[in-house]
Amino acid sequence: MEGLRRRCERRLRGVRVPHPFDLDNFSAEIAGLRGRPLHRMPLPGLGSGAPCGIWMATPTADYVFYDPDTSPLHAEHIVLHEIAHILCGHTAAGAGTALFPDLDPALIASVLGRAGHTTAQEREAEMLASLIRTAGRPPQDDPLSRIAGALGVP
Amino acid sequence: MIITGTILGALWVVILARLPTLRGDRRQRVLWVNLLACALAVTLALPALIAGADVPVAAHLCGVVAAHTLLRFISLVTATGRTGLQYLTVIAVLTFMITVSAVAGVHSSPRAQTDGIPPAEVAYWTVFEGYLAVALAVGGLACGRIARAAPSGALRGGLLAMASGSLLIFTYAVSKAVLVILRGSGTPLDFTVWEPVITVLRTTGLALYVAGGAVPAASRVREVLAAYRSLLALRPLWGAMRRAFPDMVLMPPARAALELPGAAGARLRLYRRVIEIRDGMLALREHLPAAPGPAHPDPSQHGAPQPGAPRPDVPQPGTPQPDVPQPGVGWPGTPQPEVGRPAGSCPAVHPGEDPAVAEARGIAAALRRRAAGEAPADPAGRWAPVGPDMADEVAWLTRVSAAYRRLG
Repeated sequence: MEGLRRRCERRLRGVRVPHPFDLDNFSAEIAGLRGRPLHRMPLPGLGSGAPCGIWMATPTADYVFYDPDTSPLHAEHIVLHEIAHILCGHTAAGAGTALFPDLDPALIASVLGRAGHTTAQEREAEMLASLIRTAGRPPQDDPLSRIAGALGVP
Repeated sequence: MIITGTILGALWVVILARLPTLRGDRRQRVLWVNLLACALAVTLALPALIAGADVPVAAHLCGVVAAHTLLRFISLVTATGRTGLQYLTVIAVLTFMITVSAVAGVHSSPRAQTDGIPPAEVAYWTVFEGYLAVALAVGGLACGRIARAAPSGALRGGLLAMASGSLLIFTYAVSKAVLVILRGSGTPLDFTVWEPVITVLRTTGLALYVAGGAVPAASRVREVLAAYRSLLALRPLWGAMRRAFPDMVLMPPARAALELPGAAGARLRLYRRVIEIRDGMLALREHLPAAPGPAHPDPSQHGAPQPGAPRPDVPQPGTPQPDVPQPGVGWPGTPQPEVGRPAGSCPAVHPGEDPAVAEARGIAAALRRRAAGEAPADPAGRWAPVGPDMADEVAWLTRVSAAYRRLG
Protein backbone atom coordinates (compact mmCIF):
# COMPACT_ATOMS: atom_id res chain seq x y z
CA MET A 1 0.00 0.00 0.00
CA GLU A 2 2.93 2.33 0.72
CA GLY A 3 4.16 1.67 -2.81
CA LEU A 4 0.71 2.44 -4.21
CA ARG A 5 0.55 5.70 -2.28
CA ARG A 6 3.99 6.81 -3.41
CA ARG A 7 3.17 5.92 -7.02
CA CYS A 8 0.02 8.01 -6.79
CA GLU A 9 1.93 10.91 -5.26
CA ARG A 10 4.30 10.76 -8.22
CA ARG A 11 1.31 10.88 -10.57
CA LEU A 12 0.20 14.09 -8.87
CA ARG A 13 3.50 15.88 -9.38
CA GLY A 14 2.98 18.84 -11.66
CA VAL A 15 -0.77 18.83 -11.12
CA ARG A 16 -2.05 21.85 -9.23
CA VAL A 17 -4.56 20.79 -6.58
CA PRO A 18 -6.51 23.80 -5.29
CA HIS A 19 -6.44 24.48 -1.56
CA PRO A 20 -9.06 24.56 -0.22
CA PHE A 21 -10.25 21.97 -2.69
CA ASP A 22 -12.50 23.17 -5.50
CA LEU A 23 -13.74 20.62 -8.02
CA ASP A 24 -14.49 23.20 -10.72
CA ASN A 25 -10.97 24.58 -10.56
CA PHE A 26 -9.44 21.13 -10.43
CA SER A 27 -11.47 19.96 -13.43
CA ALA A 28 -10.34 23.06 -15.32
CA GLU A 29 -6.74 22.22 -14.39
CA ILE A 30 -7.13 18.70 -15.80
CA ALA A 31 -8.83 19.99 -18.93
CA GLY A 32 -5.97 22.43 -19.39
CA LEU A 33 -3.37 19.70 -18.93
CA ARG A 34 -5.09 17.52 -21.52
CA GLY A 35 -5.88 20.38 -23.87
CA ARG A 36 -9.50 19.28 -24.21
CA PRO A 37 -12.73 19.92 -22.34
CA LEU A 38 -13.74 17.80 -19.38
CA HIS A 39 -17.48 17.60 -18.80
CA ARG A 40 -18.96 16.39 -15.51
CA MET A 41 -22.49 15.12 -15.79
CA PRO A 42 -24.90 13.54 -13.30
CA LEU A 43 -26.38 10.26 -14.39
CA PRO A 44 -29.29 9.45 -12.09
CA GLY A 45 -31.11 6.16 -11.89
CA LEU A 46 -28.11 3.83 -11.80
CA GLY A 47 -28.77 0.62 -9.92
CA SER A 48 -26.35 -1.04 -7.53
CA GLY A 49 -25.06 -3.31 -10.29
CA ALA A 50 -23.94 -0.39 -12.44
CA PRO A 51 -20.80 1.66 -11.90
CA CYS A 52 -21.45 4.79 -9.83
CA GLY A 53 -19.05 6.75 -12.02
CA ILE A 54 -17.99 6.48 -15.64
CA TRP A 55 -15.25 8.15 -17.60
CA MET A 56 -15.76 8.22 -21.32
CA ALA A 57 -13.08 9.61 -23.61
CA THR A 58 -14.12 10.60 -27.08
CA PRO A 59 -11.65 11.86 -29.68
CA THR A 60 -12.34 15.47 -28.67
CA ALA A 61 -13.39 15.53 -25.00
CA ASP A 62 -13.58 13.71 -21.69
CA TYR A 63 -16.94 12.99 -20.09
CA VAL A 64 -17.29 12.01 -16.45
CA PHE A 65 -20.68 10.69 -15.38
CA TYR A 66 -21.54 10.18 -11.76
CA ASP A 67 -24.40 8.88 -9.67
CA PRO A 68 -25.85 11.98 -8.01
CA ASP A 69 -28.01 10.04 -5.54
CA THR A 70 -25.43 10.16 -2.78
CA SER A 71 -23.85 12.75 -0.50
CA PRO A 72 -22.09 15.73 -2.12
CA LEU A 73 -18.67 14.65 -0.83
CA HIS A 74 -19.17 11.12 -2.14
CA ALA A 75 -20.37 12.40 -5.51
CA GLU A 76 -17.29 14.58 -5.66
CA HIS A 77 -15.12 11.56 -4.85
CA ILE A 78 -16.75 9.54 -7.63
CA VAL A 79 -15.82 12.30 -10.09
CA LEU A 80 -12.28 12.43 -8.70
CA HIS A 81 -11.96 8.65 -9.13
CA GLU A 82 -12.73 9.03 -12.82
CA ILE A 83 -10.35 11.96 -13.15
CA ALA A 84 -7.73 9.79 -11.47
CA HIS A 85 -8.20 7.21 -14.24
CA ILE A 86 -7.52 10.02 -16.71
CA LEU A 87 -4.37 11.10 -14.87
CA CYS A 88 -3.12 7.52 -14.69
CA GLY A 89 -3.84 6.91 -18.35
CA HIS A 90 -5.86 3.81 -17.54
CA THR A 91 -7.72 1.96 -20.24
CA ALA A 92 -10.03 -1.03 -20.34
CA ALA A 93 -10.29 -2.93 -23.56
CA GLY A 94 -13.88 -3.68 -24.50
CA ALA A 95 -15.41 -1.78 -21.61
CA GLY A 96 -16.91 0.77 -23.97
CA THR A 97 -18.87 -1.76 -25.94
CA ALA A 98 -19.90 -3.55 -22.75
CA LEU A 99 -21.28 -0.43 -21.13
CA PHE A 100 -22.61 1.24 -24.27
CA PRO A 101 -23.28 -1.58 -26.75
CA ASP A 102 -25.19 0.62 -29.18
CA LEU A 103 -22.49 3.27 -29.51
CA ASP A 104 -20.05 3.25 -32.40
CA PRO A 105 -16.76 1.97 -30.89
CA ALA A 106 -14.87 4.52 -33.02
CA LEU A 107 -16.61 7.29 -31.09
CA ILE A 108 -15.25 6.12 -27.76
CA ALA A 109 -11.53 6.17 -27.19
CA SER A 110 -11.73 4.80 -23.67
CA VAL A 111 -14.30 4.00 -21.01
CA LEU A 112 -13.82 3.16 -17.37
CA GLY A 113 -16.31 2.86 -14.57
CA ARG A 114 -16.06 2.93 -10.77
CA ALA A 115 -17.42 -0.33 -9.39
CA GLY A 116 -15.39 -1.89 -6.59
CA HIS A 117 -11.65 -1.84 -5.99
CA THR A 118 -10.79 -5.33 -7.16
CA THR A 119 -8.31 -4.48 -9.90
CA ALA A 120 -4.96 -2.70 -9.75
CA GLN A 121 -6.31 0.13 -11.91
CA GLU A 122 -9.30 0.65 -9.64
CA ARG A 123 -7.17 0.67 -6.51
CA GLU A 124 -4.77 3.14 -8.05
CA ALA A 125 -7.58 5.45 -9.15
CA GLU A 126 -9.21 5.20 -5.74
CA MET A 127 -5.97 6.02 -3.91
CA LEU A 128 -5.17 8.88 -6.27
CA ALA A 129 -8.68 10.33 -5.86
CA SER A 130 -8.30 10.13 -2.07
CA LEU A 131 -4.90 11.84 -2.17
CA ILE A 132 -6.25 14.61 -4.37
CA ARG A 133 -9.12 15.32 -1.99
CA THR A 134 -6.98 15.17 1.16
CA ALA A 135 -3.98 17.02 -0.23
CA GLY A 136 -2.84 19.75 2.12
CA ARG A 137 -1.70 23.21 1.22
CA PRO A 138 0.83 23.01 -1.62
CA PRO A 139 4.34 23.79 -0.36
CA GLN A 140 5.36 27.41 -0.86
CA ASP A 141 8.94 28.53 -1.21
CA ASP A 142 9.20 31.35 1.31
CA PRO A 143 10.83 31.59 4.74
CA LEU A 144 7.53 31.19 6.62
CA SER A 145 6.61 28.00 4.76
CA ARG A 146 10.13 26.63 5.13
CA ILE A 147 10.25 27.20 8.88
CA ALA A 148 6.67 25.96 9.25
CA GLY A 149 7.57 22.78 7.40
CA ALA A 150 10.61 22.25 9.59
CA LEU A 151 8.53 22.74 12.74
CA GLY A 152 5.97 20.22 11.53
CA VAL A 153 3.24 22.50 10.23
CA PRO A 154 2.09 21.89 6.63
CA MET B 1 17.72 23.35 39.14
CA ILE B 2 14.35 21.58 39.29
CA ILE B 3 13.10 23.89 36.55
CA THR B 4 16.20 23.26 34.45
CA GLY B 5 15.77 19.51 34.94
CA THR B 6 12.14 19.73 33.88
CA ILE B 7 13.06 21.69 30.77
CA LEU B 8 15.77 19.18 30.01
CA GLY B 9 13.25 16.33 30.28
CA ALA B 10 10.88 18.15 27.92
CA LEU B 11 13.76 18.77 25.52
CA TRP B 12 14.61 15.07 25.34
CA VAL B 13 10.94 14.24 24.77
CA VAL B 14 10.85 16.70 21.87
CA ILE B 15 14.05 15.20 20.44
CA LEU B 16 12.60 11.68 20.57
CA ALA B 17 9.27 12.84 19.14
CA ARG B 18 11.07 14.52 16.27
CA LEU B 19 13.21 11.48 15.42
CA PRO B 20 11.07 10.71 12.32
CA THR B 21 12.01 14.14 10.94
CA LEU B 22 15.49 12.77 10.32
CA ARG B 23 13.88 11.21 7.26
CA GLY B 24 12.63 14.65 6.23
CA ASP B 25 14.39 17.51 4.49
CA ARG B 26 17.67 19.17 5.41
CA ARG B 27 16.05 21.91 7.49
CA GLN B 28 14.31 19.34 9.68
CA ARG B 29 17.54 17.42 10.18
CA VAL B 30 19.49 20.56 11.10
CA LEU B 31 16.79 21.58 13.58
CA TRP B 32 16.92 18.12 15.15
CA VAL B 33 20.71 18.34 15.53
CA ASN B 34 20.27 21.81 17.06
CA LEU B 35 17.88 20.44 19.69
CA LEU B 36 20.16 17.47 20.32
CA ALA B 37 23.17 19.74 20.85
CA CYS B 38 21.13 21.91 23.25
CA ALA B 39 20.05 18.82 25.19
CA LEU B 40 23.59 17.43 25.37
CA ALA B 41 24.95 20.78 26.56
CA VAL B 42 22.42 21.01 29.39
CA THR B 43 22.73 17.31 30.27
CA LEU B 44 26.51 17.57 30.57
CA ALA B 45 26.34 20.81 32.53
CA LEU B 46 23.51 20.02 34.94
CA PRO B 47 25.42 17.81 37.49
CA ALA B 48 28.18 20.44 37.78
CA LEU B 49 25.65 23.24 38.12
CA ILE B 50 23.89 21.36 40.91
CA ALA B 51 27.19 20.72 42.72
CA GLY B 52 28.50 24.26 42.14
CA ALA B 53 31.52 22.76 40.37
CA ASP B 54 33.18 23.53 37.03
CA VAL B 55 31.01 22.72 34.01
CA PRO B 56 32.81 20.34 31.62
CA VAL B 57 34.23 22.00 28.52
CA ALA B 58 32.31 19.40 26.47
CA ALA B 59 29.08 21.13 27.53
CA HIS B 60 30.41 24.44 26.20
CA LEU B 61 31.43 22.78 22.94
CA CYS B 62 27.91 21.34 22.57
CA GLY B 63 26.58 24.85 23.14
CA VAL B 64 28.74 26.12 20.28
CA VAL B 65 27.48 23.32 18.01
CA ALA B 66 23.91 24.25 18.99
CA ALA B 67 24.55 27.88 18.09
CA HIS B 68 26.13 26.88 14.77
CA THR B 69 23.20 24.64 13.84
CA LEU B 70 20.81 27.47 14.74
CA LEU B 71 22.69 29.69 12.28
CA ARG B 72 22.58 26.95 9.65
CA PHE B 73 18.86 26.46 10.23
CA ILE B 74 18.17 30.18 9.82
CA SER B 75 20.33 30.24 6.70
CA LEU B 76 18.39 27.35 5.19
CA VAL B 77 15.06 28.94 6.06
CA THR B 78 15.89 32.41 4.80
CA ALA B 79 18.14 31.26 1.95
CA THR B 80 20.82 33.68 3.16
CA GLY B 81 24.21 33.37 4.82
CA ARG B 82 27.53 32.00 3.60
CA THR B 83 27.82 28.33 4.41
CA GLY B 84 31.61 28.19 4.06
CA LEU B 85 32.14 31.15 6.39
CA GLN B 86 29.80 29.63 8.96
CA TYR B 87 31.73 26.35 8.98
CA LEU B 88 35.13 28.10 9.10
CA THR B 89 33.98 30.26 12.02
CA VAL B 90 32.64 27.39 14.09
CA ILE B 91 35.78 25.31 13.45
CA ALA B 92 37.94 28.25 14.55
CA VAL B 93 35.85 28.81 17.69
CA LEU B 94 35.91 25.12 18.65
CA THR B 95 39.65 24.85 17.99
CA PHE B 96 40.39 27.91 20.11
CA MET B 97 38.22 26.72 23.01
CA ILE B 98 39.70 23.21 22.98
CA THR B 99 43.24 24.60 22.85
CA VAL B 100 42.76 27.08 25.70
CA SER B 101 41.00 24.57 27.90
CA ALA B 102 43.75 22.00 27.27
CA VAL B 103 46.65 24.38 27.80
CA ALA B 104 45.42 26.74 30.53
CA GLY B 105 42.34 25.00 31.92
CA VAL B 106 38.95 26.68 32.29
CA HIS B 107 37.13 27.25 35.56
CA SER B 108 33.47 28.01 35.46
CA SER B 109 32.22 27.60 39.02
CA PRO B 110 30.96 30.86 40.56
CA ARG B 111 33.35 30.49 43.48
CA ALA B 112 36.42 30.09 41.20
CA GLN B 113 35.39 33.00 38.99
CA THR B 114 34.87 35.19 42.05
CA ASP B 115 38.45 34.47 43.05
CA GLY B 116 39.69 35.72 39.71
CA ILE B 117 39.81 35.01 35.96
CA PRO B 118 43.17 34.83 34.15
CA PRO B 119 43.51 36.44 30.68
CA ALA B 120 43.41 33.12 28.81
CA GLU B 121 40.09 32.27 30.44
CA VAL B 122 38.77 35.76 29.71
CA ALA B 123 39.57 35.16 26.04
CA TYR B 124 37.90 31.72 26.22
CA TRP B 125 34.70 33.11 27.70
CA THR B 126 34.63 36.09 25.38
CA VAL B 127 34.92 33.90 22.28
CA PHE B 128 32.45 31.33 23.64
CA GLU B 129 29.75 33.75 24.80
CA GLY B 130 30.39 36.10 21.88
CA TYR B 131 29.76 33.32 19.37
CA LEU B 132 26.60 32.27 21.21
CA ALA B 133 25.40 35.89 21.33
CA VAL B 134 25.87 36.46 17.60
CA ALA B 135 24.10 33.20 16.66
CA LEU B 136 21.23 33.79 19.08
CA ALA B 137 20.75 37.39 17.95
CA VAL B 138 20.61 36.32 14.31
CA GLY B 139 18.25 33.42 15.16
CA GLY B 140 16.00 35.45 17.44
CA LEU B 141 15.64 38.35 15.02
CA ALA B 142 14.97 35.99 12.11
CA CYS B 143 12.29 34.08 14.05
CA GLY B 144 10.65 37.37 15.05
CA ARG B 145 10.73 38.70 11.50
CA ILE B 146 9.22 35.49 10.07
CA ALA B 147 6.60 35.37 12.85
CA ARG B 148 5.25 38.72 11.72
CA ALA B 149 4.32 37.16 8.37
CA ALA B 150 2.59 34.17 10.01
CA PRO B 151 -1.16 34.08 10.58
CA SER B 152 -2.19 34.21 14.23
CA GLY B 153 -2.21 30.79 15.81
CA ALA B 154 0.13 28.10 17.01
CA LEU B 155 2.78 28.78 14.37
CA ARG B 156 3.00 32.50 15.06
CA GLY B 157 2.94 31.94 18.82
CA GLY B 158 5.64 29.29 18.54
CA LEU B 159 7.90 31.46 16.43
CA LEU B 160 7.50 34.42 18.78
CA ALA B 161 8.33 32.18 21.73
CA MET B 162 11.44 30.92 19.90
CA ALA B 163 12.44 34.51 19.12
CA SER B 164 11.93 35.60 22.74
CA GLY B 165 13.81 32.58 24.04
CA SER B 166 16.75 33.18 21.70
CA LEU B 167 16.96 36.84 22.69
CA LEU B 168 16.84 35.98 26.41
CA ILE B 169 19.72 33.53 26.01
CA PHE B 170 21.50 36.21 23.93
CA THR B 171 21.11 38.59 26.88
CA TYR B 172 22.54 35.91 29.18
CA ALA B 173 25.54 35.37 26.92
CA VAL B 174 26.28 39.10 26.64
CA SER B 175 25.87 39.57 30.40
CA LYS B 176 28.16 36.66 31.15
CA ALA B 177 30.84 37.96 28.76
CA VAL B 178 30.67 41.45 30.28
CA LEU B 179 30.93 40.07 33.83
CA VAL B 180 33.94 37.91 32.88
CA ILE B 181 35.70 40.80 31.14
CA LEU B 182 35.09 43.09 34.13
CA ARG B 183 36.35 40.47 36.58
CA GLY B 184 39.32 39.70 34.34
CA SER B 185 40.24 43.39 34.31
CA GLY B 186 40.35 43.37 38.09
CA THR B 187 36.89 44.62 39.02
CA PRO B 188 35.74 42.81 42.16
CA LEU B 189 32.58 40.80 41.41
CA ASP B 190 30.86 38.08 43.41
CA PHE B 191 29.77 35.48 40.85
CA THR B 192 27.84 33.52 43.50
CA VAL B 193 25.49 36.52 43.51
CA TRP B 194 25.51 37.39 39.80
CA GLU B 195 25.40 33.89 38.32
CA PRO B 196 21.95 32.94 39.68
CA VAL B 197 20.54 36.21 38.34
CA ILE B 198 21.73 35.74 34.77
CA THR B 199 20.99 32.01 34.89
CA VAL B 200 17.30 32.90 35.18
CA LEU B 201 17.60 34.52 31.74
CA ARG B 202 19.21 31.39 30.30
CA THR B 203 16.70 28.99 31.85
CA THR B 204 13.66 31.05 30.83
CA GLY B 205 15.09 31.50 27.36
CA LEU B 206 15.69 27.79 26.93
CA ALA B 207 12.15 27.02 28.13
CA LEU B 208 10.65 29.48 25.63
CA TYR B 209 12.85 28.20 22.79
CA VAL B 210 11.91 24.55 23.38
CA ALA B 211 8.23 25.30 23.95
CA GLY B 212 8.08 27.56 20.90
CA GLY B 213 9.52 24.82 18.72
CA ALA B 214 7.09 22.26 20.10
CA VAL B 215 3.85 24.29 20.02
CA PRO B 216 3.20 24.09 16.25
CA ALA B 217 3.89 20.35 16.25
CA ALA B 218 1.62 19.92 19.27
CA SER B 219 -1.23 21.50 17.35
CA ARG B 220 -0.67 18.83 14.68
CA VAL B 221 -0.84 16.16 17.36
CA ARG B 222 -4.24 17.51 18.40
CA GLU B 223 -5.37 17.24 14.78
CA VAL B 224 -4.16 13.65 14.57
CA LEU B 225 -5.85 12.73 17.85
CA ALA B 226 -9.13 14.23 16.63
CA ALA B 227 -8.86 12.18 13.43
CA TYR B 228 -8.23 9.01 15.43
CA ARG B 229 -11.23 9.74 17.66
CA SER B 230 -13.38 10.07 14.54
CA LEU B 231 -11.92 6.86 13.09
CA LEU B 232 -12.93 5.04 16.26
CA ALA B 233 -16.37 6.64 16.33
CA LEU B 234 -17.03 5.59 12.72
CA ARG B 235 -15.78 2.06 13.24
CA PRO B 236 -19.13 0.39 14.10
CA LEU B 237 -20.78 1.65 10.92
CA TRP B 238 -17.70 1.11 8.78
CA GLY B 239 -17.29 -2.40 10.18
CA ALA B 240 -20.84 -3.28 9.17
CA MET B 241 -20.20 -2.03 5.63
CA ARG B 242 -16.87 -3.83 5.49
CA ARG B 243 -18.50 -7.13 6.44
CA ALA B 244 -21.19 -6.63 3.80
CA PHE B 245 -18.89 -5.32 1.05
CA PRO B 246 -15.30 -6.42 1.73
CA ASP B 247 -14.16 -5.34 -1.74
CA MET B 248 -14.81 -1.70 -1.00
CA VAL B 249 -11.98 -1.46 1.57
CA LEU B 250 -8.90 0.05 -0.06
CA MET B 251 -6.57 0.04 2.94
CA PRO B 252 -6.66 -2.69 5.62
CA PRO B 253 -6.83 -0.69 8.88
CA ALA B 254 -3.88 -2.34 10.62
CA ARG B 255 -1.53 -1.76 7.69
CA ALA B 256 -2.83 1.76 7.18
CA ALA B 257 -2.13 2.59 10.83
CA LEU B 258 1.46 1.40 10.43
CA GLU B 259 2.15 2.94 7.05
CA LEU B 260 0.25 6.24 7.45
CA PRO B 261 1.10 7.44 10.94
CA GLY B 262 1.28 11.24 10.52
CA ALA B 263 -1.32 13.97 10.24
CA ALA B 264 -1.66 13.54 6.47
CA GLY B 265 -2.04 9.79 6.97
CA ALA B 266 -4.74 10.23 9.61
CA ARG B 267 -6.58 12.65 7.32
CA LEU B 268 -6.36 10.18 4.45
CA ARG B 269 -7.57 7.27 6.60
CA LEU B 270 -10.52 9.26 7.91
CA TYR B 271 -11.46 10.29 4.40
CA ARG B 272 -11.28 6.67 3.24
CA ARG B 273 -13.50 5.59 6.11
CA VAL B 274 -16.15 8.13 5.14
CA ILE B 275 -15.98 7.21 1.45
CA GLU B 276 -16.15 3.48 2.17
CA ILE B 277 -19.19 3.96 4.40
CA ARG B 278 -20.82 6.00 1.63
CA ASP B 279 -19.90 3.34 -0.94
CA GLY B 280 -21.67 0.79 1.23
CA MET B 281 -24.71 3.03 1.68
CA LEU B 282 -24.86 3.57 -2.07
CA ALA B 283 -24.85 -0.17 -2.65
CA LEU B 284 -27.49 -0.64 0.07
CA ARG B 285 -29.74 2.05 -1.36
CA GLU B 286 -31.91 -0.37 -3.33
CA HIS B 287 -32.51 -2.43 -0.18
CA LEU B 288 -33.85 0.55 1.73
CA PRO B 289 -37.62 0.67 1.41
CA ALA B 290 -39.13 4.10 0.93
CA ALA B 291 -40.66 5.27 4.17
CA PRO B 292 -44.09 6.83 4.36
CA GLY B 293 -44.32 10.41 5.56
CA PRO B 294 -42.10 13.38 4.82
CA ALA B 295 -39.44 12.76 2.22
CA HIS B 296 -36.71 14.41 4.24
CA PRO B 297 -36.56 14.60 7.99
CA ASP B 298 -35.24 17.83 9.36
CA PRO B 299 -31.91 16.89 10.94
CA SER B 300 -31.37 20.50 12.01
CA GLN B 301 -33.82 19.99 14.85
CA HIS B 302 -31.29 17.64 16.37
CA GLY B 303 -28.17 19.54 15.48
CA ALA B 304 -27.46 17.35 12.49
CA PRO B 305 -25.82 18.72 9.37
CA GLN B 306 -28.10 20.74 7.19
CA PRO B 307 -29.37 19.11 4.04
CA GLY B 308 -26.82 19.31 1.27
CA ALA B 309 -27.17 22.72 -0.18
CA PRO B 310 -25.81 22.97 -3.71
CA ARG B 311 -22.22 24.16 -3.74
CA PRO B 312 -20.46 25.42 -6.79
CA ASP B 313 -17.56 23.00 -6.45
CA VAL B 314 -19.66 19.90 -5.89
CA PRO B 315 -21.35 18.15 -8.77
CA GLN B 316 -25.07 18.58 -8.44
CA PRO B 317 -27.79 16.58 -10.13
CA GLY B 318 -29.07 18.12 -13.29
CA THR B 319 -26.32 20.67 -13.78
CA PRO B 320 -26.91 21.86 -17.33
CA GLN B 321 -23.88 21.82 -19.58
CA PRO B 322 -24.62 23.24 -23.00
CA ASP B 323 -23.40 21.58 -26.17
CA VAL B 324 -22.64 18.31 -24.44
CA PRO B 325 -24.29 15.10 -25.53
CA GLN B 326 -26.47 13.71 -22.73
CA PRO B 327 -26.02 10.01 -22.04
CA GLY B 328 -29.39 8.47 -21.59
CA VAL B 329 -30.95 11.35 -23.46
CA GLY B 330 -30.41 10.66 -27.10
CA TRP B 331 -27.37 8.43 -26.70
CA PRO B 332 -28.47 4.97 -27.67
CA GLY B 333 -27.35 2.18 -25.43
CA THR B 334 -26.52 4.30 -22.40
CA PRO B 335 -28.27 3.63 -19.08
CA GLN B 336 -31.65 5.31 -19.06
CA PRO B 337 -32.89 7.14 -15.97
CA GLU B 338 -36.10 5.62 -14.73
CA VAL B 339 -38.64 8.16 -15.84
CA GLY B 340 -41.41 8.58 -13.33
CA ARG B 341 -39.63 6.59 -10.63
CA PRO B 342 -40.68 7.73 -7.17
CA ALA B 343 -38.06 10.00 -5.66
CA GLY B 344 -37.90 7.84 -2.55
CA SER B 345 -37.71 9.05 1.01
CA CYS B 346 -35.39 8.89 3.97
CA PRO B 347 -35.88 6.35 6.73
CA ALA B 348 -38.96 7.28 8.78
CA VAL B 349 -38.23 9.45 11.81
CA HIS B 350 -40.50 8.91 14.78
CA PRO B 351 -41.73 12.06 16.51
CA GLY B 352 -38.99 13.48 18.70
CA GLU B 353 -36.47 10.93 17.43
CA ASP B 354 -32.93 11.81 16.36
CA PRO B 355 -32.75 11.45 12.55
CA ALA B 356 -29.41 9.71 13.03
CA VAL B 357 -31.23 6.89 14.85
CA ALA B 358 -33.67 6.56 11.94
CA GLU B 359 -30.77 6.50 9.48
CA ALA B 360 -29.00 3.80 11.51
CA ARG B 361 -32.22 1.78 11.68
CA GLY B 362 -32.58 2.10 7.89
CA ILE B 363 -29.02 0.88 7.38
CA ALA B 364 -29.55 -2.10 9.68
CA ALA B 365 -32.79 -2.99 7.88
CA ALA B 366 -31.16 -2.67 4.44
CA LEU B 367 -28.26 -4.86 5.54
CA ARG B 368 -30.71 -7.49 6.81
CA ARG B 369 -32.75 -7.41 3.61
CA ARG B 370 -29.62 -7.76 1.50
CA ALA B 371 -28.25 -10.59 3.65
CA ALA B 372 -31.59 -12.40 3.41
CA GLY B 373 -31.46 -12.14 -0.38
CA GLU B 374 -34.69 -10.17 -0.56
CA ALA B 375 -35.62 -8.44 -3.79
CA PRO B 376 -34.73 -4.76 -4.09
CA ALA B 377 -37.28 -2.47 -2.49
CA ASP B 378 -39.76 -0.85 -4.81
CA PRO B 379 -39.89 2.03 -4.39
CA ALA B 380 -36.44 2.34 -2.87
CA GLY B 381 -35.74 4.91 -0.20
CA ARG B 382 -32.84 7.28 0.06
CA TRP B 383 -30.45 8.32 2.74
CA ALA B 384 -30.71 11.55 4.68
CA PRO B 385 -29.12 14.55 3.00
CA VAL B 386 -25.92 15.90 4.47
CA GLY B 387 -23.79 19.01 4.07
CA PRO B 388 -21.07 19.21 1.42
CA ASP B 389 -17.97 19.32 3.57
CA MET B 390 -15.88 16.57 5.11
CA ALA B 391 -16.68 17.96 8.56
CA ASP B 392 -20.43 17.66 7.82
CA GLU B 393 -20.00 14.04 6.75
CA VAL B 394 -17.87 13.10 9.74
CA ALA B 395 -20.25 14.78 12.20
CA TRP B 396 -23.33 13.15 10.70
CA LEU B 397 -21.88 9.67 10.18
CA THR B 398 -20.40 9.74 13.69
CA ARG B 399 -23.91 10.15 15.08
CA VAL B 400 -25.30 7.49 12.77
CA SER B 401 -22.47 5.14 13.76
CA ALA B 402 -23.15 5.70 17.48
CA ALA B 403 -26.86 5.01 16.90
CA TYR B 404 -26.00 1.90 14.86
CA ARG B 405 -23.81 0.60 17.68
CA ARG B 406 -26.63 1.12 20.18
CA LEU B 407 -29.01 -0.82 17.91
CA GLY B 408 -26.69 -3.77 18.40
